[in-house]
Amino acid sequence: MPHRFEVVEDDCTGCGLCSERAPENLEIPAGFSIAEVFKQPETSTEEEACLEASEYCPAGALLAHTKDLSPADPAQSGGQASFVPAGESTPAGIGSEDWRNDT
Amino acid sequence: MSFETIDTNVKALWRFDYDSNIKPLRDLYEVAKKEQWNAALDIPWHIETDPSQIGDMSAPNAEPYDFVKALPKEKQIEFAKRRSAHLLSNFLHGEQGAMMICGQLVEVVPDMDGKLYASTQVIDEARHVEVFHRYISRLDRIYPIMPGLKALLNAVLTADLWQMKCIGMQVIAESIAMGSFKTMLAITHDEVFKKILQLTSQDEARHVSYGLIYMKDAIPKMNEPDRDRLEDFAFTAMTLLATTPQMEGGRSTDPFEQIYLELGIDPQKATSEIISRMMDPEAVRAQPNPFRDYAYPQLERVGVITDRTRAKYREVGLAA
Ligand code: SF4
Ligand SMILES: [Fe+2]
Ligand SMILES: [Fe+2]
Repeated sequence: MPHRFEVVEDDCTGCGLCSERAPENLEIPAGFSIAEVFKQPETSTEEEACLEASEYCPAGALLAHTKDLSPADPAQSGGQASFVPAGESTPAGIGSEDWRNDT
Repeated sequence: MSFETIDTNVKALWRFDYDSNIKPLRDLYEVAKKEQWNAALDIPWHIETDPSQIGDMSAPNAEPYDFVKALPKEKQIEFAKRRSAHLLSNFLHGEQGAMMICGQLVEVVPDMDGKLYASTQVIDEARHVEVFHRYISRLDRIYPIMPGLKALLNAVLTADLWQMKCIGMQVIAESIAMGSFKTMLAITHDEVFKKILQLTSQDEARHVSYGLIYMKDAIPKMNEPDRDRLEDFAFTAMTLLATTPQMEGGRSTDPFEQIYLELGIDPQKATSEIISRMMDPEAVRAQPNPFRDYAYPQLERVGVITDRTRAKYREVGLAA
Protein backbone atom coordinates (compact mmCIF):
# COMPACT_ATOMS: atom_id res chain seq x y z
CA MET A 1 0.00 0.00 0.00
CA PRO A 2 1.38 3.45 -0.86
CA HIS A 3 0.84 5.01 2.59
CA ARG A 4 2.13 4.35 6.07
CA PHE A 5 0.30 5.78 9.05
CA GLU A 6 1.63 7.17 12.27
CA VAL A 7 0.10 8.73 15.38
CA VAL A 8 1.80 11.85 16.75
CA GLU A 9 1.54 11.04 20.42
CA ASP A 10 1.76 14.62 21.69
CA ASP A 11 -1.15 15.74 19.53
CA CYS A 12 -3.48 12.74 19.94
CA THR A 13 -6.32 13.39 22.40
CA GLY A 14 -7.39 9.75 22.48
CA CYS A 15 -10.91 10.52 21.27
CA GLY A 16 -11.23 7.18 19.46
CA LEU A 17 -12.60 8.60 16.23
CA CYS A 18 -9.86 7.02 14.08
CA SER A 19 -10.33 3.53 15.49
CA GLU A 20 -14.05 3.83 14.84
CA ARG A 21 -13.32 4.63 11.18
CA ALA A 22 -10.46 2.14 10.68
CA PRO A 23 -10.86 -0.62 13.29
CA GLU A 24 -8.73 -3.10 11.33
CA ASN A 25 -5.65 -0.92 11.77
CA LEU A 26 -6.10 1.53 14.62
CA GLU A 27 -6.99 1.16 18.25
CA ILE A 28 -6.67 2.74 21.63
CA PRO A 29 -5.07 -0.12 23.54
CA ALA A 30 -6.68 -0.99 26.88
CA GLY A 31 -5.22 1.18 29.62
CA PHE A 32 -3.78 3.70 27.14
CA SER A 33 -5.03 7.14 26.29
CA ILE A 34 -3.70 7.57 22.77
CA ALA A 35 -4.30 5.80 19.50
CA GLU A 36 -1.93 3.26 18.03
CA VAL A 37 -1.51 1.90 14.52
CA PHE A 38 -1.44 -1.81 15.42
CA LYS A 39 -1.24 -2.87 11.77
CA GLN A 40 -0.38 -0.91 8.65
CA PRO A 41 -3.10 -1.30 5.99
CA GLU A 42 -2.79 -4.39 3.82
CA THR A 43 -5.72 -3.90 1.46
CA SER A 44 -7.00 -0.90 -0.44
CA THR A 45 -10.16 -0.94 1.67
CA GLU A 46 -8.07 -0.71 4.83
CA GLU A 47 -5.93 2.01 3.34
CA GLU A 48 -8.97 4.06 2.34
CA ALA A 49 -10.36 3.73 5.84
CA CYS A 50 -7.04 4.89 7.33
CA LEU A 51 -6.84 7.83 4.94
CA GLU A 52 -10.35 8.84 5.90
CA ALA A 53 -9.48 8.44 9.59
CA SER A 54 -6.50 10.72 9.02
CA GLU A 55 -8.71 13.32 7.37
CA TYR A 56 -11.22 13.10 10.21
CA CYS A 57 -8.67 13.27 13.03
CA PRO A 58 -9.60 16.57 14.69
CA ALA A 59 -6.16 17.03 16.21
CA GLY A 60 -4.23 16.36 13.02
CA ALA A 61 -2.49 13.59 14.94
CA LEU A 62 -2.88 10.71 12.49
CA LEU A 63 -0.35 11.24 9.75
CA ALA A 64 -0.26 9.52 6.39
CA HIS A 65 3.05 9.53 4.65
CA THR A 66 4.15 7.93 1.46
CA LYS A 67 6.34 4.89 1.86
CA ASP A 68 9.24 6.22 -0.17
CA LEU A 69 9.63 9.04 2.35
CA SER A 70 9.26 6.76 5.31
CA PRO A 71 11.82 6.88 8.10
CA ALA A 72 12.03 3.12 7.49
CA ASP A 73 13.71 3.98 4.14
CA PRO A 74 16.31 6.51 5.28
CA ALA A 75 18.38 6.01 2.13
CA GLN A 76 15.56 7.39 0.00
CA SER A 77 14.56 10.19 2.31
CA GLY A 78 18.09 11.26 3.11
CA GLY A 79 17.35 10.27 6.70
CA GLN A 80 14.64 12.92 6.94
CA ALA A 81 11.15 11.69 7.67
CA SER A 82 8.48 13.64 5.84
CA PHE A 83 5.07 13.29 7.34
CA VAL A 84 2.03 14.64 5.59
CA PRO A 85 -1.33 14.67 7.34
CA ALA A 86 -3.82 13.34 4.83
CA GLY A 87 -6.12 16.23 5.72
CA GLU A 88 -3.49 18.62 4.43
CA SER A 89 -2.29 16.70 1.41
CA THR A 90 -5.93 16.27 0.45
CA PRO A 91 -7.43 19.74 0.72
CA ALA A 92 -10.85 18.13 0.98
CA GLY A 93 -10.17 17.27 4.64
CA ILE A 94 -12.00 18.36 7.76
CA GLY A 95 -14.01 21.48 7.22
CA SER A 96 -14.68 20.74 3.59
CA GLU A 97 -17.79 19.51 1.88
CA ASP A 98 -16.03 16.20 1.34
CA TRP A 99 -17.54 14.73 4.47
CA ARG A 100 -20.57 16.97 4.62
CA ASN A 101 -23.74 15.92 2.88
CA ASP A 102 -25.18 19.40 2.69
CA THR A 103 -23.72 22.87 2.44
CA MET B 1 -30.58 24.45 49.71
CA SER B 2 -28.01 26.37 47.75
CA PHE B 3 -28.68 27.64 44.26
CA GLU B 4 -28.80 30.67 42.03
CA THR B 5 -30.37 31.37 38.65
CA ILE B 6 -29.28 33.09 35.50
CA ASP B 7 -31.32 34.11 32.45
CA THR B 8 -29.92 32.54 29.31
CA ASN B 9 -30.39 33.31 25.67
CA VAL B 10 -31.14 30.17 23.71
CA LYS B 11 -32.83 29.87 20.34
CA ALA B 12 -33.83 26.23 19.86
CA LEU B 13 -33.47 24.90 16.35
CA TRP B 14 -35.49 21.99 14.91
CA ARG B 15 -34.11 19.80 12.10
CA PHE B 16 -36.63 17.80 10.13
CA ASP B 17 -34.14 16.03 7.86
CA TYR B 18 -32.74 13.26 9.97
CA ASP B 19 -30.02 11.82 7.75
CA SER B 20 -26.42 12.14 8.85
CA ASN B 21 -24.79 15.22 7.32
CA ILE B 22 -21.44 15.48 9.11
CA LYS B 23 -19.79 12.05 8.95
CA PRO B 24 -17.07 12.51 11.59
CA LEU B 25 -19.63 13.80 14.09
CA ARG B 26 -21.81 10.75 13.42
CA ASP B 27 -18.78 8.52 13.98
CA LEU B 28 -18.03 10.35 17.20
CA TYR B 29 -21.62 9.74 18.29
CA GLU B 30 -21.05 6.00 17.68
CA VAL B 31 -17.85 6.09 19.74
CA ALA B 32 -19.67 7.90 22.55
CA LYS B 33 -22.43 5.26 22.68
CA LYS B 34 -19.84 2.46 22.95
CA GLU B 35 -17.69 4.16 25.56
CA GLN B 36 -20.36 4.83 28.17
CA TRP B 37 -19.42 3.76 31.69
CA ASN B 38 -21.19 3.69 35.01
CA ALA B 39 -19.89 5.97 37.75
CA ALA B 40 -21.44 3.72 40.40
CA LEU B 41 -19.95 0.44 39.11
CA ASP B 42 -16.78 1.14 37.12
CA ILE B 43 -14.80 3.00 39.80
CA PRO B 44 -13.19 0.81 42.49
CA TRP B 45 -15.01 2.58 45.30
CA HIS B 46 -14.32 -0.41 47.59
CA ILE B 47 -10.65 0.68 47.77
CA GLU B 48 -10.15 3.11 50.61
CA THR B 49 -8.28 6.30 49.85
CA ASP B 50 -5.02 6.65 51.77
CA PRO B 51 -4.64 10.44 52.18
CA SER B 52 -0.85 10.19 51.82
CA GLN B 53 -1.32 8.86 48.27
CA ILE B 54 -3.48 11.70 46.90
CA GLY B 55 -0.53 13.96 46.10
CA ASP B 56 0.00 17.71 46.37
CA MET B 57 -1.68 19.45 43.46
CA SER B 58 -0.47 22.90 44.53
CA ALA B 59 2.97 22.77 42.87
CA PRO B 60 3.04 20.42 39.87
CA ASN B 61 6.51 19.94 38.31
CA ALA B 62 8.05 21.96 41.12
CA GLU B 63 9.43 21.77 44.64
CA PRO B 64 6.71 22.00 47.30
CA TYR B 65 6.31 25.50 48.69
CA ASP B 66 8.40 26.37 51.75
CA PHE B 67 5.25 27.12 53.74
CA VAL B 68 4.12 23.53 53.01
CA LYS B 69 7.52 21.98 53.75
CA ALA B 70 7.57 23.76 57.11
CA LEU B 71 4.46 21.85 58.23
CA PRO B 72 4.68 18.57 60.14
CA LYS B 73 4.15 15.51 57.88
CA GLU B 74 0.49 14.90 58.87
CA LYS B 75 -0.36 18.53 58.18
CA GLN B 76 1.35 18.35 54.78
CA ILE B 77 -0.89 15.40 53.93
CA GLU B 78 -3.94 17.24 55.25
CA PHE B 79 -2.98 20.27 53.16
CA ALA B 80 -2.68 18.10 50.03
CA LYS B 81 -6.07 16.52 50.76
CA ARG B 82 -7.84 19.83 51.21
CA ARG B 83 -6.04 21.45 48.30
CA SER B 84 -7.23 18.55 46.09
CA ALA B 85 -10.77 18.93 47.41
CA HIS B 86 -10.65 22.63 46.53
CA LEU B 87 -9.40 21.94 43.03
CA LEU B 88 -11.86 19.12 42.44
CA SER B 89 -14.73 21.21 43.80
CA ASN B 90 -14.07 23.60 40.96
CA PHE B 91 -14.01 20.74 38.49
CA LEU B 92 -17.28 19.55 40.01
CA HIS B 93 -18.85 22.98 39.45
CA GLY B 94 -17.34 23.01 35.96
CA GLU B 95 -18.89 19.61 35.21
CA GLN B 96 -22.31 20.91 36.22
CA GLY B 97 -21.77 23.91 33.95
CA ALA B 98 -20.71 21.58 31.14
CA MET B 99 -23.84 19.46 31.63
CA MET B 100 -26.08 22.54 31.33
CA ILE B 101 -24.18 24.01 28.39
CA CYS B 102 -24.33 20.70 26.54
CA GLY B 103 -28.07 20.61 27.12
CA GLN B 104 -28.14 23.99 25.39
CA LEU B 105 -26.00 22.66 22.54
CA VAL B 106 -28.59 19.95 21.88
CA GLU B 107 -31.10 22.75 21.34
CA VAL B 108 -29.03 25.30 19.44
CA VAL B 109 -26.67 23.50 17.08
CA PRO B 110 -27.93 23.43 13.50
CA ASP B 111 -27.11 19.82 12.53
CA MET B 112 -28.72 16.52 13.56
CA ASP B 113 -25.31 14.88 14.04
CA GLY B 114 -24.35 17.80 16.27
CA LYS B 115 -27.51 17.35 18.35
CA LEU B 116 -27.18 13.57 18.66
CA TYR B 117 -23.57 13.77 19.75
CA ALA B 118 -24.20 16.61 22.24
CA SER B 119 -26.95 14.53 23.86
CA THR B 120 -24.35 11.85 24.71
CA GLN B 121 -22.18 14.48 26.29
CA VAL B 122 -24.96 15.51 28.65
CA ILE B 123 -24.87 12.05 30.26
CA ASP B 124 -21.03 12.07 30.20
CA GLU B 125 -21.03 15.28 32.21
CA ALA B 126 -23.70 13.94 34.57
CA ARG B 127 -21.37 11.01 35.27
CA HIS B 128 -18.52 13.41 35.93
CA VAL B 129 -20.64 15.36 38.41
CA GLU B 130 -21.44 12.06 40.12
CA VAL B 131 -17.82 10.81 40.40
CA PHE B 132 -16.25 14.08 41.48
CA HIS B 133 -18.95 14.69 44.08
CA ARG B 134 -18.48 11.20 45.49
CA TYR B 135 -14.69 11.44 45.54
CA ILE B 136 -14.59 14.91 47.14
CA SER B 137 -16.76 13.65 49.96
CA ARG B 138 -13.91 11.23 50.80
CA LEU B 139 -11.47 14.10 51.13
CA ASP B 140 -13.13 17.12 52.64
CA ARG B 141 -16.05 19.39 51.76
CA ILE B 142 -17.24 21.11 48.59
CA TYR B 143 -15.60 24.52 48.24
CA PRO B 144 -17.30 27.45 46.47
CA ILE B 145 -16.81 28.03 42.75
CA MET B 146 -13.90 30.35 41.88
CA PRO B 147 -15.11 33.67 40.41
CA GLY B 148 -13.18 33.29 37.14
CA LEU B 149 -14.69 29.88 36.43
CA LYS B 150 -18.17 31.10 37.25
CA ALA B 151 -17.69 34.11 34.98
CA LEU B 152 -16.60 31.87 32.11
CA LEU B 153 -19.46 29.39 32.53
CA ASN B 154 -22.01 32.19 32.78
CA ALA B 155 -20.56 33.88 29.70
CA VAL B 156 -20.97 30.62 27.76
CA LEU B 157 -24.45 29.94 29.14
CA THR B 158 -25.62 33.41 28.10
CA ALA B 159 -23.74 33.66 24.78
CA ASP B 160 -26.04 34.32 21.84
CA LEU B 161 -24.11 32.52 19.09
CA TRP B 162 -23.99 28.71 19.21
CA GLN B 163 -20.42 28.90 17.96
CA MET B 164 -19.51 30.86 21.11
CA LYS B 165 -20.96 28.10 23.27
CA CYS B 166 -19.01 25.55 21.28
CA ILE B 167 -15.70 27.44 21.45
CA GLY B 168 -16.13 28.40 25.11
CA MET B 169 -17.13 24.96 26.34
CA GLN B 170 -15.87 22.36 23.90
CA VAL B 171 -12.61 23.91 22.80
CA ILE B 172 -11.50 26.07 25.74
CA ALA B 173 -13.00 24.55 28.89
CA GLU B 174 -12.70 20.93 27.72
CA SER B 175 -9.07 21.36 26.64
CA ILE B 176 -8.22 22.90 30.01
CA ALA B 177 -9.97 20.03 31.79
CA MET B 178 -8.05 17.48 29.73
CA GLY B 179 -4.72 19.16 30.40
CA SER B 180 -5.44 19.46 34.12
CA PHE B 181 -6.54 15.82 34.42
CA LYS B 182 -3.28 14.74 32.76
CA THR B 183 -1.28 16.74 35.29
CA MET B 184 -3.26 15.32 38.21
CA LEU B 185 -2.88 11.80 36.86
CA ALA B 186 0.89 12.21 36.92
CA ILE B 187 0.82 13.39 40.55
CA THR B 188 -1.61 11.09 42.34
CA HIS B 189 -0.96 7.54 43.54
CA ASP B 190 -4.51 6.93 44.75
CA GLU B 191 -6.02 4.10 42.68
CA VAL B 192 -9.56 5.45 42.97
CA PHE B 193 -8.58 8.93 41.88
CA LYS B 194 -6.47 7.52 39.04
CA LYS B 195 -9.39 5.49 37.68
CA ILE B 196 -11.69 8.53 37.89
CA LEU B 197 -9.19 10.64 35.99
CA GLN B 198 -8.59 7.97 33.33
CA LEU B 199 -12.27 7.39 32.57
CA THR B 200 -13.15 11.07 32.73
CA SER B 201 -10.27 12.08 30.43
CA GLN B 202 -11.41 9.53 27.88
CA ASP B 203 -14.79 11.29 27.75
CA GLU B 204 -13.22 14.77 27.69
CA ALA B 205 -11.12 13.77 24.67
CA ARG B 206 -14.33 13.19 22.70
CA HIS B 207 -15.72 16.48 23.93
CA VAL B 208 -12.69 18.37 22.63
CA SER B 209 -12.88 16.50 19.31
CA TYR B 210 -16.51 17.49 18.88
CA GLY B 211 -15.56 21.14 19.29
CA LEU B 212 -12.66 20.88 16.87
CA ILE B 213 -14.61 19.07 14.16
CA TYR B 214 -17.64 21.29 14.43
CA MET B 215 -15.74 24.57 14.61
CA LYS B 216 -13.44 23.74 11.70
CA ASP B 217 -16.60 23.24 9.71
CA ALA B 218 -18.57 26.22 11.01
CA ILE B 219 -16.08 29.08 11.36
CA PRO B 220 -15.27 29.50 7.65
CA LYS B 221 -19.01 29.81 6.98
CA MET B 222 -19.60 32.64 9.46
CA ASN B 223 -20.04 36.23 8.32
CA GLU B 224 -17.25 38.62 9.22
CA PRO B 225 -18.90 40.55 12.06
CA ASP B 226 -19.92 37.31 13.82
CA ARG B 227 -16.47 35.86 13.26
CA ASP B 228 -14.90 38.92 14.87
CA ARG B 229 -17.28 38.58 17.80
CA LEU B 230 -16.35 34.90 18.13
CA GLU B 231 -12.63 35.69 18.11
CA ASP B 232 -13.14 38.33 20.80
CA PHE B 233 -15.33 35.99 22.82
CA ALA B 234 -12.60 33.32 22.74
CA PHE B 235 -10.04 35.79 24.07
CA THR B 236 -12.38 37.01 26.81
CA ALA B 237 -13.23 33.44 27.81
CA MET B 238 -9.54 32.54 28.12
CA THR B 239 -8.70 35.61 30.19
CA LEU B 240 -11.78 35.35 32.41
CA LEU B 241 -10.71 31.95 33.62
CA ALA B 242 -6.98 32.55 33.66
CA THR B 243 -6.72 36.00 35.11
CA THR B 244 -9.92 37.08 36.91
CA PRO B 245 -8.91 38.18 40.40
CA GLN B 246 -10.52 36.32 43.24
CA MET B 247 -13.20 38.78 44.26
CA GLU B 248 -15.59 37.81 47.00
CA GLY B 249 -18.11 40.32 48.38
CA GLY B 250 -16.19 43.20 46.85
CA ARG B 251 -12.79 42.28 48.34
CA SER B 252 -9.97 40.33 46.77
CA THR B 253 -9.37 37.00 48.49
CA ASP B 254 -6.95 34.14 48.22
CA PRO B 255 -9.06 31.09 47.34
CA PHE B 256 -7.08 28.95 49.78
CA GLU B 257 -7.25 31.34 52.72
CA GLN B 258 -9.77 29.17 54.52
CA ILE B 259 -7.49 26.13 54.20
CA TYR B 260 -4.45 28.06 55.43
CA LEU B 261 -6.27 29.34 58.48
CA GLU B 262 -7.62 25.91 59.40
CA LEU B 263 -4.16 24.36 59.17
CA GLY B 264 -2.37 27.13 61.04
CA ILE B 265 -0.57 28.46 57.97
CA ASP B 266 0.06 32.21 57.85
CA PRO B 267 -2.04 33.27 54.81
CA GLN B 268 0.14 36.30 54.09
CA LYS B 269 3.31 34.22 54.05
CA ALA B 270 1.71 31.59 51.81
CA THR B 271 0.24 34.11 49.38
CA SER B 272 3.49 36.05 49.06
CA GLU B 273 5.44 32.84 48.34
CA ILE B 274 2.91 31.82 45.69
CA ILE B 275 2.98 35.28 44.12
CA SER B 276 6.77 35.41 44.03
CA ARG B 277 6.81 32.05 42.23
CA MET B 278 4.21 33.39 39.78
CA MET B 279 6.50 36.34 39.08
CA ASP B 280 9.48 34.13 38.27
CA PRO B 281 9.39 33.57 34.49
CA GLU B 282 11.40 30.34 34.73
CA ALA B 283 9.05 28.86 37.33
CA VAL B 284 6.06 29.91 35.22
CA ARG B 285 7.51 28.19 32.14
CA ALA B 286 8.16 24.97 34.09
CA GLN B 287 4.64 24.79 35.52
CA PRO B 288 2.09 23.03 33.32
CA ASN B 289 -0.33 25.64 32.01
CA PRO B 290 -3.44 24.11 30.43
CA PHE B 291 -4.43 27.45 28.88
CA ARG B 292 -1.15 27.91 27.07
CA ASP B 293 -0.36 24.23 26.46
CA TYR B 294 -3.79 22.78 25.61
CA ALA B 295 -6.46 25.41 24.91
CA TYR B 296 -4.40 27.89 22.89
CA PRO B 297 -3.09 25.36 20.32
CA GLN B 298 -6.64 24.09 19.76
CA LEU B 299 -7.93 27.64 19.22
CA GLU B 300 -5.18 28.05 16.63
CA ARG B 301 -6.17 24.76 15.04
CA VAL B 302 -9.78 25.82 14.45
CA GLY B 303 -8.73 29.22 13.16
CA VAL B 304 -10.22 31.38 15.90
CA ILE B 305 -6.89 33.08 16.61
CA THR B 306 -6.10 35.51 13.85
CA ASP B 307 -3.61 38.29 13.16
CA ARG B 308 -6.14 40.65 14.72
CA THR B 309 -6.15 38.82 18.08
CA ARG B 310 -2.86 36.88 18.29
CA ALA B 311 -0.88 39.67 19.94
CA LYS B 312 -3.43 40.01 22.73
CA TYR B 313 -2.83 36.39 23.80
CA ARG B 314 0.92 37.01 23.82
CA GLU B 315 0.51 40.10 25.96
CA VAL B 316 -1.20 38.15 28.73
CA GLY B 317 1.12 35.14 28.44
CA LEU B 318 -1.51 32.78 27.05
CA ALA B 319 0.10 32.10 23.67
CA ALA B 320 1.91 28.78 23.31
S1 SF4 C 1 -8.77 10.60 15.80
FE1 SF4 C 1 -6.79 11.62 16.10
S2 SF4 C 1 -6.92 12.51 18.15
FE2 SF4 C 1 -8.58 10.99 17.99
S3 SF4 C 1 -7.65 9.09 18.80
FE3 SF4 C 1 -7.32 9.05 16.61
S4 SF4 C 1 -5.28 9.96 16.27
FE4 SF4 C 1 -5.94 10.49 18.36
FE1 LIG D 1 -16.67 16.57 32.02
FE1 LIG E 1 -16.53 17.48 29.14
